[in-house]
Amino acid sequence: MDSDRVQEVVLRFYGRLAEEVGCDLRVRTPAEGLTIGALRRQLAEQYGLQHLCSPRVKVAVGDEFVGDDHLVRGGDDVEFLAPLSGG
Amino acid sequence: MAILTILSDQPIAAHDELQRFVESSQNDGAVASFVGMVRPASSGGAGVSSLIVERHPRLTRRSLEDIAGDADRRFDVSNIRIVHRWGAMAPGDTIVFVAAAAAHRRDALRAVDYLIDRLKSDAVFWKREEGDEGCLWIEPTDEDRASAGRWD
Repeated sequence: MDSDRVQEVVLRFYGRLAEEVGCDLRVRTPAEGLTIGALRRQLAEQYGLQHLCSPRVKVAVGDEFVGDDHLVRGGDDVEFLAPLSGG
Repeated sequence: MAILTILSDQPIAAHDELQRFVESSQNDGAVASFVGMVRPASSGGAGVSSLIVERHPRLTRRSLEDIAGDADRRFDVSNIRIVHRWGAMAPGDTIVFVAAAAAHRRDALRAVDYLIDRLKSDAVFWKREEGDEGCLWIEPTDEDRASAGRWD
């Protein structure tokens, strides 16, 4: 049970993506981890949201922006930020 | 050097902000400012009844501080202020107030130009308009991206 929990990752979405996905998600990652790029592709396919793979969608893990080669591990909070629009 | 960034869900009184900023820049020779307001119509011409600006609980504040810090390093300015509102706003409301002070006008003007270009593309906010055509998410235009790209 504990090991299951350790390998779970929480996904949060912001902006237009929050509306499109609808809620936070919890996904299990393999023990060796999962790259952000692979996670983007998996979600894009699952939700039919190809723009999740766009570089304009930024991804933060633990409040730090990360690239597609970043390895997500159990216990991480992964946040997908729709294209930003301030000012 | 003084940098002040404020993130608030309360209305921004731009004239009061400018007055306070000028008062805090008495040793400078120039103050430049920019006020961004909610437009009454979308880019397609449809009426807008409200603009909703969403923010991230932590990254938004940090992005404002990072952008202001970058401007400080880039220009010879002595005072920077960014006041950005989030939440629901009506046409005519102020979304953002930006100001920079420097010994000479060119630095102050360029710093404000830079700040607003960076805010458009890099500040962690999301905007959506509600109005005659329903709800429309607003994203930076190609022109916004080209403007931000001038500073790369």
